Amino acid sequence: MFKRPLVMIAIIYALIIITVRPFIPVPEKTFINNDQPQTGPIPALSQKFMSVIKQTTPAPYDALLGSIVFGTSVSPLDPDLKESYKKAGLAHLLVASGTQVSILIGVCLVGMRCFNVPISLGVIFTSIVNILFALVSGCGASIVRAAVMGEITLFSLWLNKDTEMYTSLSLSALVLMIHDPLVLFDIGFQLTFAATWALFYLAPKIEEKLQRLAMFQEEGPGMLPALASVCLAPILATIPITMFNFNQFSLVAFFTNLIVLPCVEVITVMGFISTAIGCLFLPAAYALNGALYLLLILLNEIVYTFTSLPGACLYIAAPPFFVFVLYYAGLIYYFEGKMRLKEIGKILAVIITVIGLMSALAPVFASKQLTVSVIDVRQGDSIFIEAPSGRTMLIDAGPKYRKSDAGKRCVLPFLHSKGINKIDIVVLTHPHDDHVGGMVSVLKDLPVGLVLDSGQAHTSRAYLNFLKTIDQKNIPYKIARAGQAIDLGAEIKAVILNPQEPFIEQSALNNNSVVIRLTYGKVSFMLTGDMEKEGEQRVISSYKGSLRAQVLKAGHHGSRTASSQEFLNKVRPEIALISVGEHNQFHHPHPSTLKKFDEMGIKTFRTDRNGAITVKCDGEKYSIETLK
Amino acid sequence: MQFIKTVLDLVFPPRCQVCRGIGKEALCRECESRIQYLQPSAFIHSVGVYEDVLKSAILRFKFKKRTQLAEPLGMLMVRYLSRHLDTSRLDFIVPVPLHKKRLNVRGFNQSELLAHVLTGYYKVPTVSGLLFRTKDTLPQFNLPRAERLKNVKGAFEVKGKGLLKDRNVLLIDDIYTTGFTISECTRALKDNGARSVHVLTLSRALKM
Repeated sequence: MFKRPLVMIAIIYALIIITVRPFIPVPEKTFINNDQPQTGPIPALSQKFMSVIKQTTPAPYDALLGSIVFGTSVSPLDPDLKESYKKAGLAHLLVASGTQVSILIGVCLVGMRCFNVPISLGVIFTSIVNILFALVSGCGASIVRAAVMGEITLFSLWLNKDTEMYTSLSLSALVLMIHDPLVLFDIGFQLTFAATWALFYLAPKIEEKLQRLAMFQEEGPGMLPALASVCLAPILATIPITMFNFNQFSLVAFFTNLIVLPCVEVITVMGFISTAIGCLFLPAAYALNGALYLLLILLNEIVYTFTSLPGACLYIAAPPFFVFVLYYAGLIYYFEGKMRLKEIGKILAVIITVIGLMSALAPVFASKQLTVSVIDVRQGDSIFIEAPSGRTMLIDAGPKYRKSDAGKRCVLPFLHSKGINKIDIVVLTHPHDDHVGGMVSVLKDLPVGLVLDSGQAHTSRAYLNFLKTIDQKNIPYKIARAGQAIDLGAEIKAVILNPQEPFIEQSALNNNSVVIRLTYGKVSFMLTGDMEKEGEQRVISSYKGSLRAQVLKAGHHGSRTASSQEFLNKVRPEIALISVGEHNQFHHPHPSTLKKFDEMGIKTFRTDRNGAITVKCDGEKYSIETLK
Repeated sequence: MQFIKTVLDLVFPPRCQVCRGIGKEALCRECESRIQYLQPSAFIHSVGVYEDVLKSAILRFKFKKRTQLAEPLGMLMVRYLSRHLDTSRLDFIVPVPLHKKRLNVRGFNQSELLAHVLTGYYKVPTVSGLLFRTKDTLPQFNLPRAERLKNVKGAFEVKGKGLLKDRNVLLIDDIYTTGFTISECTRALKDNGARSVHVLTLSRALKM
């Protein structure tokens, strides 16, 4: 450690940043418009390059080629395509980083040598190209890291010095952290450093192990151990980061990388050449990119094939932080062969790693609880239910505005963070936009077993899109009617209380909401959708069983048109959950409703004040967790 | 200068050139202890066998231009010299020269750098302009034995002939293989009046 002063400085600086982080004012996140490419500090040049690619490559593939060569920040990519690459464990291809830089530097140096240029000039020219590329591709954490490390390597060639991996990594980290200390908490920053460390440290060790395995074979192992280790090492090193931040765990990542990496190398090299040539003489770029076009189609096909495999990408609830520390410790310990008692140590390391992974997977299997979560989707409704049997139900998915989709922004991240990989039943209480808006994203992202709908005719775009998606994905669809039961496993009794035909005519869409009463042991939940007084009246008069429920999701966002005294008298809730947005235009919840709750001694929880509200119930008691 | 060196050492931490260990001398003690030293044999003095440590050190010194190795390698020669040779009557230290072309490509003559280390220790001057290569010979180590002699035959000449009259010369080279280079140099020096020519090479190749 003392032999590498820069490493020490970088670590100390990082520790200082971590300690003072609570006192650093976090800059208000500006809303990034994804339709517009961020052109980096030299917009003219990046636009020139992109226009060459756009002119010579057919439509969806120009953006893909652009992101492989220059990264997504310069060449915005269709979000769905991006998500597919992420699920396939190939998101790193779409970021400008070490791959591009090493290819660029290699091509430049070889070119210089061909013309017998002295090393000093060659290095200066190459380093200018290197810096230009970093500027053109938008100066993300990974490209800056790669560029700084590239510079260090170039100067080591010129000055006949030895580079040292940890020092180079630290220097590039310092450059980034001095520019913006908060970059330390940037996912891209963490990913690029973890992956680079893995390539330098883990990959050679893995390769050695694979070589030893392959030694007993008659024919030599060939290139496979080298390629496999280069694929495996970054995955091993970045698993905790992707798991922690995206709750994603791609099972196919190793295989997709193994197949795709050589192909992408070719695409990158040819992409560079065709773009450079195309700037001078456009027709030449046509010929090269024509050939690339086929490779790009192939690449996309591979990605789609792998991501469509069942269980290609699992969502896993993030395990506690110490598991990650154990994981890395185990990883290093396993590969560090020099230690004493190394055999015992290795076995221990494997055990620790396995325990770490198991505890990461544990929440998926173990849950003897019923949890009902009201997700904070601002003004709208979305409730997620996980039964003790493991069956899951989602009621509504919040609103969708032009640029903000609650499904994508709130519901899916919430489900991913819980490690949810399928939804058994999706219920749409009624087709209003603040309930159906986010549905399309949810239905597209996760496998769904059944959709229950109130079956009311409605022609809003959001609702029609919802129906279209059900159709496209061939999801079983049923109309919910009072008296039906929902299967959430044997422990849970779930009865539909509303709607019934003929439909109520006043405030029809709201009053004919799907209303569900859940019972687990001694605890019941009343989930009312947007049902108003007329609907409540009808439920009271028609339902023969008990309406008692300790937990009430207040109807219609706590509006005064719902939660009538009569209904509350029947339900006699102990707590009321109100799903409502801050400063909403409808002025929900209404003060008179809140007053009513207060007078009856009903405790209220509101998503605008408390964030997501989760009620956990073991059949005897229930407890409430809120985010804020 | 010192400042620049400090900065460079920060970015490029010093390493042992043989085992690549960090924060060590250019040739660390563990590696140095693994050198196979040689005993003196008539007229030819070589510090060690051109194998393992010494071989990789010399390769990195010459071809990777790690000139920081000159000091530790030169000191190996000093140590050998003090033990086995009487240095009190030496007049000149002469490194085996490189051809001008090769010198331009490499930027330095490795034997000359080694000779300077000896000069610094014994205060005997290194004279590098004296002996020079007239032929741009091929590297000896690439050639079969039969061609090596032909390669270096008459490749060396001496400038300033009077200087050598009755002088005792120490000839320095990095590798001794067949001895053709050394004997050609010795002959050129002796033809020009040198009284005695001692030869010291850093290493000697035993396997051919």
